[in-house]
Parts: sequence; C-alpha cells; structure tokens
Amino acid sequence: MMMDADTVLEVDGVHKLYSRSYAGTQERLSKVLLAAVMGRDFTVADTGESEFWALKNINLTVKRGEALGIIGFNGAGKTTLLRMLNGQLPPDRGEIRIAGKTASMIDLTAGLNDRMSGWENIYLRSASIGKTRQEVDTVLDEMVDFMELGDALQAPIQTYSAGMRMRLAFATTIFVNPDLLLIDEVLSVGDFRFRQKCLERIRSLREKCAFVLATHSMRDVSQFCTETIVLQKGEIAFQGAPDDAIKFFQESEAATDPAKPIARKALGEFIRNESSLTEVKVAINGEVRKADDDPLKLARGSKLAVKVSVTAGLALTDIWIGYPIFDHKENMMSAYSSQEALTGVRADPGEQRVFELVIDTASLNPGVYQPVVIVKEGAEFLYRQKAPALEIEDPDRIFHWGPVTLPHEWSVS
Amino acid sequence: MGEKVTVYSAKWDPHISTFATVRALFKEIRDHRWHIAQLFRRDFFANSRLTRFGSVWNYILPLVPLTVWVLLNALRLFPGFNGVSSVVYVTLGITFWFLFAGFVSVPIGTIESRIKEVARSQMPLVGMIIAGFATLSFDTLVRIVGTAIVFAIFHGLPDWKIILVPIVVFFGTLFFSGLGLTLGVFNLAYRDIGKLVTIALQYGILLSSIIFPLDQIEFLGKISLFNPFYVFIDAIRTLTVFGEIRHPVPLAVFSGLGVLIFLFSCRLLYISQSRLKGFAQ
Repeated sequence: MMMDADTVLEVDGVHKLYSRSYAGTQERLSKVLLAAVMGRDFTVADTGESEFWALKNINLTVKRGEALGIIGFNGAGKTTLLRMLNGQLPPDRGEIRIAGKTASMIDLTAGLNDRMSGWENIYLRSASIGKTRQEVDTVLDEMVDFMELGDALQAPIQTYSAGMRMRLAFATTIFVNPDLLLIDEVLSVGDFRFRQKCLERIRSLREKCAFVLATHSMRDVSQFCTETIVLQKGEIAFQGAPDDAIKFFQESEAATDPAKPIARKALGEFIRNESSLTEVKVAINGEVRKADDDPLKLARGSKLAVKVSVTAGLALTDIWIGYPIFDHKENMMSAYSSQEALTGVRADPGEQRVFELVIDTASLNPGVYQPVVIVKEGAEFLYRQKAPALEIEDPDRIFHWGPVTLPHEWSVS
Repeated sequence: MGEKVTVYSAKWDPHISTFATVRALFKEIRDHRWHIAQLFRRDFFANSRLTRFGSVWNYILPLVPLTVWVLLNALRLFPGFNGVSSVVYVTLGITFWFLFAGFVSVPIGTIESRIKEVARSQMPLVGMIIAGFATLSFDTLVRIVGTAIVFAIFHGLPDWKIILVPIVVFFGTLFFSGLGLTLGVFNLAYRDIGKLVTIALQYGILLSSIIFPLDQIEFLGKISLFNPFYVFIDAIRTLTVFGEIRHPVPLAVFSGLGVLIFLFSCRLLYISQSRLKGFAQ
C-alpha cells in the first residue's frame, strides 16, 4: 500500500455505526460473526432500528509536520474518531491508512495495574501500547527522569495521586518516535508545570510527526493546530484554519444555547478533586451564589468582594486561590492570585478556610464577565470551576471603548 | 518514506486461506510475546500480592484438587479401578480434565472479560487468550509434578508408552482450544453460551469418568465414546498405566475433528477479532 511521501494519515469515507440498545449491539455482532463464518465482508449497508451513524463519511489527510485539531460538542464523535485512528474501533465503511508508527494519548491510564509498583507498571503499560522491551530499555532513564516520581516508583501505584499516575502514563507513552501522535484532551491534565513539560516534549516531536488532537480547549487548537475540523453529529461540519473553525464552532454553540453564550470555550478545563476538597462555596458581596445563577449586577466602580470558603478533605499545606475574570469573548481581562500575599495556608481534614478578595471594578467597562475560581495546593489544581457571573452596569456613561477603561484624566491647554 | 502502512478497513480479503490466518495469528503471538509475558507475570503475582506466603500460593492452589482426592483415598472411600489405585486414577484424570476444560473455559472467560482491555491497548485478542493459556499451562505443570509424585508412590513406574501421551495431549489441545475459541467468540453475541458451558463442565467432570469409572457401566460406556473429554483423558490414562489405547477409533476421529475445529476457530478469530473490539465499548 503506497501513500504520498509526506502523508502520514489518510481517512477515506469512514463511517462508524453505534447502537442505542444492548439488543441492537448483540444483533449487529451476530451479523458480524455470520459474515466472518460465511466469508462476507463487514461493510454495513443500512442502519438497523436502534442504530445510528456515530461518524459519517469522514475524509482527512494529515501530513508530517501538520497538526489536525478536532473540536465539537460532547458526543459529536471526536473520541470515536481518535479511537478508530488508533485501531481500537474498526470502521463500518471506508478505510484508514497510516504510514509508520502511531502513539496515542487516549485512555492514558489504560494498562496500569493498581497493585503493581511504578517500575512494574512502566513495563506493563509500555507493553500494552505495543512497545518492545528493547524500546523501553533504550529510553528508560530518560523516561524515569521525565516522570520525577523518585522513590515512589517502588510503591504500588494504588498509593499514587491522579497526577502521579498521569506522569507515569504520559512518560511511557511519549518516549517513542511516532509518525502519528493521537492526543485526546490530555494536554489539560496534571499540574501546570508538568503540563508545560508535556507540551514541550510534544512540541519537540512537532517537525517529525503528524498530530491529531481532539479537545475542548480552543486555546490548544489555536496555538497548536495547523488545520481543524468541527464535528457535528458525526459529520465534518467545517474544515479549515483553526481560528475559522473556532469561530464556526462558537457560532454553532451560541446558536444551540443562545441563553448562555459565554463561559464555555476558552475558560480552560474544569477540575474538581473531591477527595482533597469536600466543599467550595463562593459568596459575592456577602451573598452565596452558584455559577449557573443569573449574572450579579454591579454598578461600575463598586467594590466586588469575593469570599471563597474551602473545606479540606485531606491535610492541605499550601492552599492558594486564583480568580481570573474573562469577558464574553473569553479574553482574560484580569486575574488575581493569593499565592504571593498569603503563603503556606494550611488546613486539616474537615477544616474550613475562608479567603476574601476585594476588587475595585472601576476599570471594567459595562458587560457580562465570567470569573473562574481556582483552588490549588502548591502546583496542583484541586478545583477549577466557573464562578458566579457578573454584569457591570454604568448608566451614567454612554460610550465605552474596549474592555477596560483605565483611570484617566483629560486636559486641554 | 518506506514506512509500513497500516490499514483499518471495513473490508477484508475473503480469499485469505485458513492457513494464512493461522500463520497471522502465530505472528501476532510472536510479535506480542513480551506483552503476553508481562500479562502472565501480572496475573501470576496479582493474586498472591499482599499475602505472607507470596507466590508460594501459585504452586499450592493448583494442587488442592489433587490433595482432596488423595485425602479421600487415604480414608478408603473409593475402591481401586481395574487394579489401579483410585488415587492414581483420579489425579491423572483431574490433571488433564482441568487442562482440557481450561482450554474451553479460558477463551470464553478471557474474551468476555478482557475485550475492553484489548480495545484500549495494542494487544491483539489472541495475545490476551494466550496469556490466559499460559497461566493454565503453569497450573497444569504444577499438577503434573504432583501427579507424578502420587503415581510413583501409589503405582510405581509408568509404562514406556507414556512417551505417546504428548501426542494425545497435542490433539486434545487442538480440539478443546479450538472449541473454546469458537464458543468464546460466539459467546460475545450469545451470552448464554458461557453459562451453558459452565453447567456442562460441572456435569462433565462427573460424566467423563474422571472421578468414577462410569465407563464400566455398559450403557454409559458406549455413550462415553461420544464424549471427547472421556476419549482423550482415557487414552492418556491407559497409555500411562497400561501402555494401551482402549478406544483408538474415537480418539482418531476426535483428533481429526480437533484439527478441523482448531483451523476453523483460528480463521474465525483472525477475521473477527478487530470487529469484536468494536463491541467492547
């Protein structure tokens, strides 16, 4: 099978069929087995009663050095497509051709065994993604340095935090020289420093291989991809430059949910570590509010008092709070962190700590703003969720330009 | 660039020969032998982890069924069979019963329980099944050592024709593993198969003259000739003890059938294994 010299991935008219019911799945499987026994091929002609096309007529080409982004709503078929590219799911129509080796960051922790040590899991996970022992031994030192797990590698991984597991899994996956790298959301997992390290490692592969990245992060798509497709109900609704694809997707999203046009796209990933933090409450100007409540109306220039109460589930030693504020286009307008002002804040299990932030809203122009509340322990994100939205009003001024108006004076001479 | 091109397609070559599918499956096993070894290692140590005796349990537990029968014999609950100590009769029977029954039940259980793991890894389904067979083979080796000791104590030396036993075991392996692979694949679509096989094996151990020589009852003796478990295990037992095969025709028939079933199962597994992963979601 020949492909163009630089082409790493070709997807040709690929369809994937799913069933909504268990009985439908069993019926389809019976047909597949009958086809196998009778020597017929598996191309699906029509959908059955409870079946639907999870992916329909997907055509793609990705060359070396290119990065294809896949965006779309949940259930649009992003992960299904990635799994098909990784050979985990067979197409029901069409064909996928891949030149060279594939590495995938889908189900990063698949193949790990809780009872085995970190060392044992390096080999187990590596084997499960198709590496040979020689390949692992060649890069073992580099891999272990990258993980930064130290003596923890001797311990069973059931004692690991989610972040530590992710380090182990990521390192075992990325230390290969793939021709095609498939990434499913994992760029947003782990603490900030490790994420940067992962991104750096991925970028180092950039010239040598082709990427396919399925994500909800418009920022990753914009910064990382050379071309992007928007999947809607299993079909490619848009294919083109990343910024155009993001615009198309956001317009589709707004059309789908016009009541809430903000706060889902570039706000970053939302995280909640319930074992570390049993409760997080946010009060604005003395009123406990939920993220989904209508925006709180504030007069421009009034004080915004944000009180964040966190209850620890585990002993926490260095808690700090972040409070970035985004505008309706998801541009970050300003961000506040307790990291420098309040160092070494501790909490025992069950203990509540209350952080208070007071902001002068005089610089914000009228509009709807979406803050995010972040709770971190050291470098690790414990909580990152939308905070109650704000609506700044200024009935005294008619004209406003740009997102902020800095304190200023006019004079003439 | 000259790299190998991997193709995932809804189509497959309907003209592929059965022998080509067998070769392809063996190539997959060879290519993934390190992963298979890792899985065997994982399963080997998983059960005994956190125990005080550790992997010693992996040697003790397979011997338990044998020791039960040795104990019952010591209590003189069973008579000798055809001049053979009941301990020898039963331990030989049980050892190969667990092997052959395992060749049927392991693929069914593995395909049902590990298909999701297969879908999330690069391991082919056949590799996962082989890892299961490796555990079964280890248990059998432990039992064979136990049986050899029991044999030496209660009977003495085996007949020299014991050297023919591996041939019988080979054809039995083809027959029962082929049956297990075929039933395992179909069990994904028809989940009753696994339950029915479990029931059949529970009765099978009693009806295959493993523990009691039911074949000495005239009517049951005739029916037993249609039971492949009985035919293969009886051949192994009589070769070892008396140096003879009492039922050569049924043994030849089941051996030939075993080759055919094994080839069919390899073809079925090879063609369908990529599709089966799609039903693990």
